[in-house]
Amino acid sequence: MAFQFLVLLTGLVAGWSKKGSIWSITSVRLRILWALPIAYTLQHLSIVYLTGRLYEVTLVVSYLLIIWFCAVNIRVPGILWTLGGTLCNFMVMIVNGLRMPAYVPAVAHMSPKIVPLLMKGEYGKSIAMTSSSHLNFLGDIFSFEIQPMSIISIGDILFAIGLVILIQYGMTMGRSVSPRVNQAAPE
Amino acid sequence: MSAKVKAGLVFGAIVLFSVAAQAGIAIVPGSM
Repeated sequence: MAFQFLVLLTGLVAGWSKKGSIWSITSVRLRILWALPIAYTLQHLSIVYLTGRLYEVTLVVSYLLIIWFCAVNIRVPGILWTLGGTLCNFMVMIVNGLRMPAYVPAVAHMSPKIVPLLMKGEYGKSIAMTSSSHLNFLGDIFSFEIQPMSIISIGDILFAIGLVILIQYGMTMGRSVSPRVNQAAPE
Repeated sequence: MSAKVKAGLVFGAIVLFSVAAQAGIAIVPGSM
C-alpha cells in the first residue's frame, strides 16, 4: 500500500504546490463515479474469496467497469494515463489466464515466504513469472522498496502518473471556474 | 450535501479507483 499512498500524496502535494485545494476536487466532472466502489468491491471479492469461474467473471467485470469509467471520462486530464495503465494490467492478466505474473527474484527479495506459495500455483491473483508466461514485461517486475514493500508493474506506474495528474488538476481546477458558472453547469 | 462531504466522497472514489486498478495487481505480503 506504500506505493498507492505515495501516489496519492504526490498528487496532493502537486496540487497544493499549485495553490490548489482538496475541496476543489468536486469541480472535476467525473461521470459514473458510482462504478468505482463497485469495481473495487468486485476486485476484492474475486481476489480474496472467489475461485474458478466466479473469480474470472468478477475480476473481468471489475476491470470492465474501470475501463468504462476511464472511457467516459477520457477528456479529463490524467484519465488517459489511468486507462493505459489499466489496459496494460488487464491485458497481461488476460493472456495469463487472468493471473498476474510476478518476477520471482523480486518476490524473494520482498518476502521469501511467499515464493513457495507462488511456485506452487497461485498467490492471490499472482503466478510465478516463467518462460511460459506471456507479456512478462507487463507483469509485476519492479520492487517498490518503501515499507510495506510491494511489487508493481508498468501498468501500475502508468496508472500512478495519471492519478497524480488527475488529483492536481482537480485541486487546481476550482480556481479557474467561478462559483456561479460552476453551480449553473449541468451534472 | 455539503461541499466538503462531496469532496470527501469524490476523493474516496479516487482512492478506490487507485486500489481497484493497482492494489489488486501489486503483490503485497500478507494482503491475500
